[in-house]
Parts: sequence; C-alpha cells; structure tokens
Amino acid sequence: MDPGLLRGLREILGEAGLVERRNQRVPYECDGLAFARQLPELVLLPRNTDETARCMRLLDEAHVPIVARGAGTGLSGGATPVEHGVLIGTSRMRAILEIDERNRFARVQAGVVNVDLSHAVEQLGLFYAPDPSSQKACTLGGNVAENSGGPHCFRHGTTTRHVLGLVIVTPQGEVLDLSKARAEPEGLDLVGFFTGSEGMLGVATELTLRLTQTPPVVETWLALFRELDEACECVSDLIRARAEPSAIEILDQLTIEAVEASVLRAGYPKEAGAVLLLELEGRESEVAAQARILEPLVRARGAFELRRARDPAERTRLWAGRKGAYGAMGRVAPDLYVCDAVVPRRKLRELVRETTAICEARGLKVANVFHAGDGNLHPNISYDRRDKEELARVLDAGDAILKACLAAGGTLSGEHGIGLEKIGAMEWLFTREDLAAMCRAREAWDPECRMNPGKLIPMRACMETRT
Amino acid sequence: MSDPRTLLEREIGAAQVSSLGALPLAEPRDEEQLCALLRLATREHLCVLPLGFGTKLAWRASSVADFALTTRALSGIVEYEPDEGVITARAGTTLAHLRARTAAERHWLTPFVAREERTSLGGAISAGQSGLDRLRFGPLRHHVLGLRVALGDGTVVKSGGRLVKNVTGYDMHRLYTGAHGSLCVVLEASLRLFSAPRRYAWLQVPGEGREWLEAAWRGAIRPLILALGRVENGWELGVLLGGAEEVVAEELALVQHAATLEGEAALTAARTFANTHTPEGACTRLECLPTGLGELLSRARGRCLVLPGVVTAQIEGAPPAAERPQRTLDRRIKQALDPHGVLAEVG
Repeated sequence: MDPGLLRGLREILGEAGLVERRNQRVPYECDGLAFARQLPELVLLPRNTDETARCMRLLDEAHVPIVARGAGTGLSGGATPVEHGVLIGTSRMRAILEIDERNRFARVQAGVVNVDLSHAVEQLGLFYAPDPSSQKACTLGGNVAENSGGPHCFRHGTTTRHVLGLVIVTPQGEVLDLSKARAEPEGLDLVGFFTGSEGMLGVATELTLRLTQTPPVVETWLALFRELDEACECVSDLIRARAEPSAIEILDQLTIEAVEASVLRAGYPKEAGAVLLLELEGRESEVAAQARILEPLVRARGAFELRRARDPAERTRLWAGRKGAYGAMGRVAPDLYVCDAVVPRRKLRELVRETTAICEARGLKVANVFHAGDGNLHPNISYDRRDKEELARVLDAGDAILKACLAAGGTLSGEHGIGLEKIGAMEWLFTREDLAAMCRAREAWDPECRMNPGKLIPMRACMETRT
Repeated sequence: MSDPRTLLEREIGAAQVSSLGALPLAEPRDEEQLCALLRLATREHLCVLPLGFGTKLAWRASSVADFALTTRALSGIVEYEPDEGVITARAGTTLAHLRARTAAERHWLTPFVAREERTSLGGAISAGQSGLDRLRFGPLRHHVLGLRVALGDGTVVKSGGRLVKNVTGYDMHRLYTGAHGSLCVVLEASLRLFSAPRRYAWLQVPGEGREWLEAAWRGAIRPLILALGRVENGWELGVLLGGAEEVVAEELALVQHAATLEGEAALTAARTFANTHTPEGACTRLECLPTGLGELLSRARGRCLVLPGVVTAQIEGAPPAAERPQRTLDRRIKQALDPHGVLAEVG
C-alpha cells in the first residue's frame, strides 16, 4: 500500500478505524462462501458517511479497488476481498439515526444489525419486515446490497420493497443523498436500482427503511407429512388456492434431525418426512379466513398432523429452529454449501426431487430447508472443504442444480445474489446484450469498475462493452 | 436528407404512419419493425418519442423529438399461468384487458388506474404509474418482475424474469420503470398478481375521511382502494373494501357504514371514481409524508387525486417551469444506455 495513501486514510479514520496487521485482517478474507478467500490489503472501518466519502476520494485518486462488507454473512462471495484491494467494513456504523413512529420509517446507519432495528421499534408496535435467517448477525447495509429475503418476504416482499431512501457514497467519493422517504422516485429510480446491486455501484452508508405495523394476530401452523413430495405439492395447492399466509416454509427430514439434535431443539417431530411451516397474520377474522383455506388443502395432501403453535414461546422456538437450521447442519459435516435458486411454484415437487437426485448421484448429502411459497429452493449440501475432491463434486452439483432450475423456467438466485459463486452461470441465463446493458449501467456509476470488481457480471461481457 | 415521415413510410409503409400533433407517429406491427425503426433513427440521427396510447405524455415536461412511436399494436398476453400468480404481456396490451383476464382467475392486478381501456402496460410502466390501490399493494415498480425492452439502437435486452422472487443480475427494470421511455422502449413485462377477494364493497364518503385514513393506516381496515378526490366544496373519499365475507362485514361494522355497492357494481364505481378524479392531460405530482396530508390537501386546486401512505397527489396542471435539475447520475445512465441520444429526454 502506498505510504502516502495510508497516511491519508489514517488521518481520516485514526488508528481505531484501520485494520493493518495481517492476523487482524484474516477474519475479513471471506464471507459465507468459505471456499473463496483473499486477504484484503487493508480494512477501513469508517464511522459515518463523511469518513467513508473522504476515504473513497483518496482511494479514487489512487485507483484502488474497494469491496464493502457488512457482517460477512452473505453466501455468494459478494464480500470476498479482491487482490490489491481495500475492504470497507460498516461495523462502526451502528447508529439508529431516527425513528419516525407516525410516518413509519427509520433512518439507520448501514452497519445496524437487522434484528436490532425490529427490537428498537417493537414497543411502538412496529417491525422491520425482511427477516433473513442470519438476521441476528447480518447488517441492514448488507441486506440492501444483496436485496435480502427471508421467510416472511412471501407476504412482505424482499428488502427492496422496504427501502424508502439511501445515502450513497459513489466510487468517486461523492455523497448522493437520496435519503428522503418518497412514494415515487424523483427522476430515475436510483434507490431501487442500487438495492441488490451487490456493492458494485457504491457504498450505502445511511438507509431510510419502511417500518411495518405488527399484526394483531399471528399464528404459526405446523403441517407434518410423511413425504417431502406431499409437502411440496401442498405448497403448489396453496398458491393455486390463492392462499396468502405471511410465510410458507419447508424443512425436510435431515434438517429436522439436525435441528432437533442441536441446542435449538425446536420441537419439530422427528417422525415427519417433511414439515410445512406456515404463518398467518392479520386481524382475527383475516387469520380465521386464511386458516379455513389452508386446513382442507393440507389434509387433502395427506398431512398426518396439522396444529397451531400453542403459545408465543413455541412459536419463537419453531422459528428459531427454522432460522438456525444452517448452523445446526454443522453437526452433519464441517461445511455447508447453501444453494439458492428459484423455480416456478407449480413445479416445486419435480425440482426438489431433481435437485436431490443430482446430489445423490454425486454421493453428496443434501438437506432441504426453503422458502417454498416463493419457489425459492435451498438444497444444502454438507461437505468438508479440506477434501478438494468432495468440494469439486459439490460445485458440480451446484451447477447441475442451477441448470435444472433454469431448464424449468427458474432463475439463479432468489436472495443470496450472484457474487463470485454464480458469475459463470450468468451467461446461461442472459445474452451478451443483456449483460452488456448491465455493464453500461454500472459504468455510469463506476467507470473504472473499482467497486467490487469481478463479481456478478462476467468480465468478458464487460470487456465487450468497452470494445 | 429525407424528412422523418418519408423515412418512416419507406421503412414500414404509409399505412402505419399517422400523426400526433405535428409529429409523425409510427405504429410498428411487431418487435421486428419497432427495432428496425430504432435502428433507422440511430442511423439518421433522429430523436424518438416512445408512447403507448399517449395519455400520459403531458406528465413529462415538453420533449423534443423527430417522430413518435407507439407500441399499441404490440399487444397480447404472452404467458399467464394462473397457478403461478404471474402474468407476462406485450407492451401495448391494455390494463383493462389484463384486469379482465386475471379477474376471471381470481387475481387482482395492480395498479388500479383511471381509464384502463386507454392505458397500455408499457405506458403505465414507463410512466411509473401507481394505482389507487397503492396503500395496500405498494407502488407499481415493486411488482414489475421483469422486462424485455428495446434500447435506443434497437438492441433487445431483458432483466428480471417471470418469478415472484429473483435477485439475479442488476434490476435494470427498476431504471426503466418510470423513465418515461428515455432509456428504452418497453416490449414485454411480467407482473406479480395478488389474490382477488371473495367480496367487494364500495363506499364513497364526503369529506377528507380522516377517520377512515386513520383506520386504514393503523390496519383496522385493509381496503383494496383508498383515495381522495377533489370535489366542488372540498373532498370525497373512495374506499373499496375487499376480502373474505366476514372480513368485509367486520370492516363495514367497524366504520359503521353500509356498503353502497357490492360485487361488480363496486368495481364499476371504483373505476368511475378513478376516472372522475385522475387529471387528464398535464399533471403535476406532489408528495408528502402521511403527517403532511392536511397541508397538501390545502394546496390542491382543480382536478386532483390523492393516494395516502407516503402521500402522492396527481394534480391538474403543468409541472412548474423551475424543474428540478436532472441529476448528473441520471444523465450518465441515459448516456450509457442510449449513447446516440435516440430516445427523447424527459423535459
């Protein structure tokens, strides 16, 4: 690192805002995509928009690549550092700046942890709706970068529907203040475009987020099936019947076993081949009307038990089990490859079958826990990353799963993003022209392509744009 | 150099070239012709004003163009699997057609807007037109799942898809939605659909309906449609309740009001309300936070439609001359996606 640049950054951030020593940089070398690693040259931890902007101006002058990182819980390598690059972490941007109860929005710094916002507004009868499984750790800034989802996005929509405004520091270090809560964008929808752009257009430092009213009644239902097939068919039936619960999730037997063997012990019956976890919310009459739709459908599909969570404690336990399922899978093998793909909801059963067959054909152990209502599959493959040959089989299975989902009219990612993980697959879905348009839009923000380079868009597509 | 009309007639035939005021108006019959016209414009350095039925042209400040191009002949549903809850249709398809088709399968199409028989899907998306059902479902841009578009040089590109959840690639469709045709011409769009309720009830209440807005804001009622329209001596509120039988009954009891109309008649009344209060022609959009509603209402003049939530008001009359200067980044994006400047700028 250039000593002059380092001196300048130190002047802005002080010693506490710089992570220089190698052993202290190691925790930043990967995100949840553990097999992709790169040590960052330097880690910067600014405390606010101004520090971020001043640092980014210096990095712009020195043409240094930048990767932004929230909590590093992303699963597609979106926060994997790049060679000779600097990493900007948001871990010192943890302030909730404003809560406007009457107008139902909050302004927060990017490093605020997802669940902390909901806790902060709980007493007001409000919550922040997107709830990724990692919500106890992941940051709201990271959620914006990835347009994160979560079980309750079935009803409430992914992050993008909850972002009212942003303060963005551009790759040139300019501050773009789009923080005002707006109904419709003024000019182009830059906030909407930025959300989900995987940290490639700039760094969002402050977020204006929509808060949702806590529903008066919430019921969690558990439908137990002997077979995973039946649970999948039941979800297609629910969509067909226009049922609108707030969440429709499936856990298969292997996941149930792992959760029940872990500290979470959520109370999922081990004799079930699959569990359908449903949540209904609204006024009492709305919940009752929803329940009347789902009960006969679930029973007709062969559920051997259908019951409501008895009390809030059981409800909390069931959701903790669902959201902690990835961690619980650690009992099966040291590493977990969480595939993320979306398929048409009327084809759930055939695609879940196919993805399972793909893994089994490669001698791999797969567990399914997924957002069934959105058609968002998560085949989770257990492996040991120290076993290179096994890792190769896992990646091969991942590719085959994506190809099967695309062939069925699906797509590459429902909520984890493309990052490094699926960059090669982008050309399976998009034409050269599609990708070139994305490159051009990106270059309007970042002509040098210094923000999170080498992610999402295959390099070849970008090169072609330039020529 | 020949004049634009002659060039257009040579390219697609005189029968498909009419007039929009002083401008020649080309009506390509398919995507191939449309793209050929854009390539022609690129070659001949002509500037194109894309439109559907042209009902929202006055929403944008004056645009300089050599010819207008309508997508209204590009119509029809491309894919509708009722069991999936997604519909894909060509840009020229009217919202009225889409609503009728989806309602038959118990789906609710958002946005619910005025004059849907003269509102094309591509036009609504290009104008970023949210509906009277915005409080319940959110703005239109949240439900555009994917787009196929033609860029200024005639290249066809897509983003998003036909799935309810998707984070694959940049959401280019978020840039295109509400860009008033300045970045691309929309060819085909996929929209997310919602469940249609079993029962509808329409109420039209004189006054500002503060207690109704309050009830809706705190979730005591969840109307499909909630909008204020200006009348001679103030305001009237239009409310379309919808849901299961007992849900609507409960809401009616809560607001202590008998429904004036039910079923299809309720939907017809909602359409009439939308048509009555949505300005035609020049229109300015105002916004405020929910707590600023009173002040916004006091400023409104003429024909006016107000949608609660983060409030938007469509008010009759041209936008003020002192327009917001276009952001540098907007300009850079325009330059990147339409480097030859084929598509007319927004004001």
